[in-house]
Amino acid sequence: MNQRETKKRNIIGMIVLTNIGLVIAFSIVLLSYTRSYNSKLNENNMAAVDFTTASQCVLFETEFELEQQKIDTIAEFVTKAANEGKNGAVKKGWTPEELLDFFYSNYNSDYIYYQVVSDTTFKGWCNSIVYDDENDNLQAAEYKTKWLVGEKILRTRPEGAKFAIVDYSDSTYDAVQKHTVKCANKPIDGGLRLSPEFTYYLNGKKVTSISTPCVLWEEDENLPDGGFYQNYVLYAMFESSYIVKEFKANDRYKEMSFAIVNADANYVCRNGKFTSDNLYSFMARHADMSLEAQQDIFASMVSNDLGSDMGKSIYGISYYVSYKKIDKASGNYFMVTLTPTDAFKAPELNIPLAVLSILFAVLLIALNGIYGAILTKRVLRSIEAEKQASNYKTDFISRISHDIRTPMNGILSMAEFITTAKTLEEAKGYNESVMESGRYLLALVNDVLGISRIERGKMNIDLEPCHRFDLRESVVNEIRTFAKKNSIDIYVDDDGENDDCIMMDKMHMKQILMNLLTNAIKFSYKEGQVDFIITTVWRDDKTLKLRYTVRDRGIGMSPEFAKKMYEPFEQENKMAVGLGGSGLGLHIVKILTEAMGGKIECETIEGKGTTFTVEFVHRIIYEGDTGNSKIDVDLKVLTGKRILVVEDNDTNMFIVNKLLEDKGVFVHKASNGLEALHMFEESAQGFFNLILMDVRMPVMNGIEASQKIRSLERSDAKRVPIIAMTADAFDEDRGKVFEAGMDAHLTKPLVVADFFEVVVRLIKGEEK
Amino acid sequence: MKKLFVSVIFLIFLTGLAGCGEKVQEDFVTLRVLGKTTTNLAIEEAAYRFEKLHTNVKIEYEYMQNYDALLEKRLSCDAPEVDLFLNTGIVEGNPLAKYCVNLLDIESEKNLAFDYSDSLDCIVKPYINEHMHSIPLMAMVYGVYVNKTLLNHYGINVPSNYAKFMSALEFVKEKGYVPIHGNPMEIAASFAFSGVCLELEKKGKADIDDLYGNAENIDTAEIFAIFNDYVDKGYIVLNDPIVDVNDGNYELGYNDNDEMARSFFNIKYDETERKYKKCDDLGRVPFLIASTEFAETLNNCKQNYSSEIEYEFILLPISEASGYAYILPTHAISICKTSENIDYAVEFLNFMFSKEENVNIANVSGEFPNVYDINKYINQRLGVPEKFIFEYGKLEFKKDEYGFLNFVFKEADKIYGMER
Repeated sequence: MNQRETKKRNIIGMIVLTNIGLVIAFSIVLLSYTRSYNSKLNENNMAAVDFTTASQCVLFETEFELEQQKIDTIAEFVTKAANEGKNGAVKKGWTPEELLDFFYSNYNSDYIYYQVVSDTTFKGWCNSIVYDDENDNLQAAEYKTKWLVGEKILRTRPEGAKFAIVDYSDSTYDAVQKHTVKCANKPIDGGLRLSPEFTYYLNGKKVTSISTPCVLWEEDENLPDGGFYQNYVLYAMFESSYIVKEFKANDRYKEMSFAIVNADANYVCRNGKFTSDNLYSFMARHADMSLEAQQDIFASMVSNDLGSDMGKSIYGISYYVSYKKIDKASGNYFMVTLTPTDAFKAPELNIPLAVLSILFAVLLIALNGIYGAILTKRVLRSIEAEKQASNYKTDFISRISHDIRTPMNGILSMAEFITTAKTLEEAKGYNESVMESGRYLLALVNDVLGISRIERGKMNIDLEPCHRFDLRESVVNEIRTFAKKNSIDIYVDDDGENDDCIMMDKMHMKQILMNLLTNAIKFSYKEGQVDFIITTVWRDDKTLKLRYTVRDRGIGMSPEFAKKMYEPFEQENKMAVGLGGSGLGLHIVKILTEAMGGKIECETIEGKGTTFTVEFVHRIIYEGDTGNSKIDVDLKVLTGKRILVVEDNDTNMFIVNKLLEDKGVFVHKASNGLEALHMFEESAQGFFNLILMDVRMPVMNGIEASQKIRSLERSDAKRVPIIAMTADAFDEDRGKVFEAGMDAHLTKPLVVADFFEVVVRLIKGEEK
Repeated sequence: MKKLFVSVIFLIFLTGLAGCGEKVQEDFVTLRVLGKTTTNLAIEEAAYRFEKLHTNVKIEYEYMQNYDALLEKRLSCDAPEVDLFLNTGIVEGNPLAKYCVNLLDIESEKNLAFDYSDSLDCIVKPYINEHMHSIPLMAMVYGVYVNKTLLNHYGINVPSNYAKFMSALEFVKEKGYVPIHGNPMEIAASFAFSGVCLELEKKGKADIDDLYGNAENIDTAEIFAIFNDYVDKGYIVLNDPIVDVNDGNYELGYNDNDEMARSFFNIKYDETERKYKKCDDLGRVPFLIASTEFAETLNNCKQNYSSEIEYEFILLPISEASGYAYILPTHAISICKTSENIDYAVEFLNFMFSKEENVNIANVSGEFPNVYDINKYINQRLGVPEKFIFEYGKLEFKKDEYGFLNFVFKEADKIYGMER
C-alpha cells in the first residue's frame, strides 16, 4: 500500500469515526427527548402502567399455576387412597407426616415450603366448622357441650344456646384459618387457591400460599382402627420476599408498588408502599379517603376485571392506582399497583445532558470539518510534493546527463585530438582541456554526491581546531590560481589581530567559501576584483563571531533569479553562458551554512555585482587546548623506506608507484587484500614501513585485509601504519577504515600534498 | 496534530459518556424493619420521612403475627432478610442478643456513628451492659383510659386524685358496671409501678436516692395491698383470664388488644348482619387499665367503628394529689447482625433518635419520646407535676428489672389463682 493510499484510508477512517461520534451524540440527544416523552403523563403511559399491572398478573399466575397443578394432583392421589381406605380397599391412607416427607424429599426448594393443616381448628367449641359458601362465612358445627382445655372444663355451654357464626376475618392470622376451612370444603377446581399472607411458624418468614384440600389418615392408638380420616388442606408456601423480587425484576417504574389482595382486602403478598395489616387498613391510615371511597374502589375492583383510579392521595402524594383481577384464582383476587403520579411527570428534558450532547455534536462537526480540511490539504500538498519530487528527479537526471556529457564530450574529443596532434605544444594544449574537463567533472560529481549525502541526512559536522589565518590562506591560495586564470584580482582583508585558533568543520567551511569565491570570479567582468573580507562581528572569552564577505562587481542577478538562486540547478541563462557550472554550488552553500548553524545573506544588483555574507559563531581554543596539527612535510624521510601498495587498478597503482619511487621509496605491489596479507605474513619483522591499502578490491577487500593484518601474531602487525585509499570519501567510509584498524584515510583522486603529508606523518610516527 | 486530535476526541467522548444516561445514583437499598403491629404507623411514617431524605432507600415494615414466638425463629434462619427489628427482650439474659449488632462498638468496628445523645439516660442506661444490643425507641407509662362519655353521662368528671377516683369507682359499680377492666398482667404491672412510686413519694424526695439504691426496702405487700383493696371492694372482678366476648360478659381479662379496644367502645358481633357493630356511644367500660402502648389500638378502633365515645388517659390516681408517671422504656429496636445495609440501618436509627423525629414518632403512637426532656412532654399531656414523675432505671433493684417484673407477675398470679 503506498503512502497516498494510507493517507486516504486515514482520512476515511477519521471521517467514519467522527461520524460514528456524531451518530452517538445525536442518539443521546434523541434518547433524552425520548425519555422525556415517555415520562410525560398521558393516556399511553397510564395504559403502560395498566399493561404492567396486567402482565404482572400473568407472571404471577404462571409462577403459581404449575405448583397448583402439582399439589392438586398429589392431593387427589392421597384423597383417592384415603377414600379407598374408607371403602376397605386398603387399611389406611397417607398420614400428614408421610405426605410432607414425600414433598420435602421430592420437591426441595429454597423458597417453597409445604404444610398440611387440619380444618378442625376450633375444637374447643365444636368438632368441626362448616364453610357457608352462600354467605362466605364459617359455621361451627357439631357443638360440644363443654369447652375443654386439657382435662379442665373451662366453660359449659348453656342449654339450647346457639353459637354465633365463627368470624375469623378480624386478623390476618385468623383469616388463614378461615381459608383452611373454606379450602377444605371446596372441591378442587383447577384454580389458584391463594390464601392471605401469613408468617410461617417454622422460620418466621412471610409466605404467599396456595392450597388444595385432601383427606389424610390421622393415627390414634386409642381408636379401634388405630386412627381416623381427617380433612386437611395442603399448603405450598412461597417466601413472599421471593415473589416480591419477581415483581421488582419486572418493575418498569421504580416507584411502582405491588400487592395482591383478596376480596376482604387481606394481602396475599405485597411490596413497596403497601403497608399495614391489609389494604383497607392501609387506605384508612395513609390515604385521604373515606371508608365509602375505599369501598367504592373495592366495588369497582370486584365488578371490573381491569381498572384504575387516578390521583389517590396516599402519604400526601398523588398515586395512580391500577388493578387487575387474577383470572386464574379461585375466588376474587386482585393485583393492585400504586404508581406515584410524579413518576409520570417529565423529568423535564435533561437540559445539561442535552446541551452537552449538542455541544459535543457541534464540536465534532467542527473538528470533523477542520481536520478533514487539514488532512485533505496535507494530502494534496503531499501529492504535489511527490509530483515535484518526481519532476525534480527527471530534471536532475536530465541536467546531470547534460552536465556530464558536455565535459565528457570535451575529454573524448580532446583525447582524440592529442593522438593526432602534430606538435608537443598542440598536444599539451589539448591535454590542458582534458584536465580542465576532468576537474569540472570531478567537481560536479563531488557536488552531486555532497547534496545527496546532505539530503539523506548523512552529513556529519566534524569540528576541529583550525587557525583563522590558516583557513584564510588555504582558501586564498587555492582560489588565487583560478582567479588569475580568469584575470580577476582577489582582495583579501581580515580584521583579526590574532591568529585565533577556533573550532570549525574546516572541510565544509572551506567548501562554502570556495564555492562563493568561485562563483564571484565566474560572474565578475574581466579584469575585475573579488573581495574576500573576514570581519570579527563580536568576540568574548569563549566565542567569536566571524562574518565572511565575498563581493564581486560583476553581472549581478536579476530580482527574479535572486528569489530562487539557492535552488538546485538554477542558473540564470545570461550568466551561465560561457562560464560553466552545474547550478548546485549555491544550493550546497546554503544547506551547509544552515547545517553548521550559520547564516547566509545576499545582496545583488543586476549589472553591478553581488555580495554574499556568511556568519558563524566559533568557539575559541586557547593554547593547551589543542596543538597545531600542521606537519612540515619532510619528504627526505621517505628515502629507502619500504611501502606495500595494495591496489587493483593499474592506473592508480602506476600513479602511487610513481609518486613514491620519485621520493626514493621501495614500492612493493599487491593487487588485492589477500595477496597483501600473504606478503606481509611472509615478510620479516618490521620489513614494511607502511601499507597503502585500496579499499574496494577483488578477492579480499582492504577492510578485511587490514583486519587480518592487525590480528596477526607478530609485533609489527599492530604497529605498521596502514593508509586507506578510496574513492569512498564520506564520513561513514572513514569510520569503517578506522574500525578496521587503519591509521589514515586518503580520498581518491589523490591530492599529492595531502598524500605526502599523511605518508610522512605516519612514517615518522612509526619510527618513534 | 493527529495525536492531539485523537486525544481531544477521546476526552470529548468521555465527557459525553459521563453525561449520558441518568444522574449517577447511589445503590438502591431496601431496609426491612420487622415488628409488631402496634408501632407500625409511627415507624411507617418515620420511614416515609426518611425516604424523602434518602431517595435511594426504601423501608419496608414487616409485621409478624405471633411476634414474640416467631421472632427468634426468623432471626435464626439462614437468610432472615431483616435489617432492623423491634427487640422483645430486656438487656439481661436477652436471648436475641446474639442476633444484634452491638451499638456501642459500631463506631470502632464499622466506623459508623450511632448518635443517641438526645435520649433519656434513665431508660437507655439499663440497655447498656458492656454492650448495647437494643435501645428503646420510646417511653411509656401505665395509666387508666377513662370513658369520659360514660362518666359525663352520670355527671362525673374524670377523677384527678385518689379520693375522686374511689368515689367514681364506687358510683359506677353501683350503676351495675364492672369499674376496672384490662389485661390482668397489665393491671398488676400498673399497680406495682404505681405502688413503687407511692412508696418513693412517702419516703420523700430526699430519701429517693437511698431508695433507688435499695429496692428491697420497698414493701411489696403495701403495693399489692392497694390492688387487693380494689378487688375486695369489687372494683376489679377476678375471673377467668379468658372471657367470652360474645356472650355479653365484659369482665376482667382479654385475649388481645383489639378485643380489649372493641370492648371499650362496646363493639359487639351482630349475628344478623354477621359483622361487628357499634352497640352505643356510651360504652360499658368506665376505666380500662393499660399503658400508653395501647393508645394507637384504641384510636384505630374508635375510627374504624366511628365511635363517639370520648376517652382520656390519666395516671392511676392512687395518691391524694395525683397519679404517678413511672417512665418505662418501650419498643426497643436493634440492628440485625446479618444486615447487609448496616450503614443505612444506623442512618435510620440516627434519624429516629433525633429529638424532632423521636417526638413525631411518639406523637403518632400516643407514647412519649425517648428524649432528655421527656418530663415536659409528660407534663404537657398528663398535667403531672415533675415530682410525680419517676424514672425507670434510676431504681437499681437488687433483683434486676426483669426479675422485678417477674416478681410482680407472680404476685398477680397468686391473686388470680393461676398457675403460670
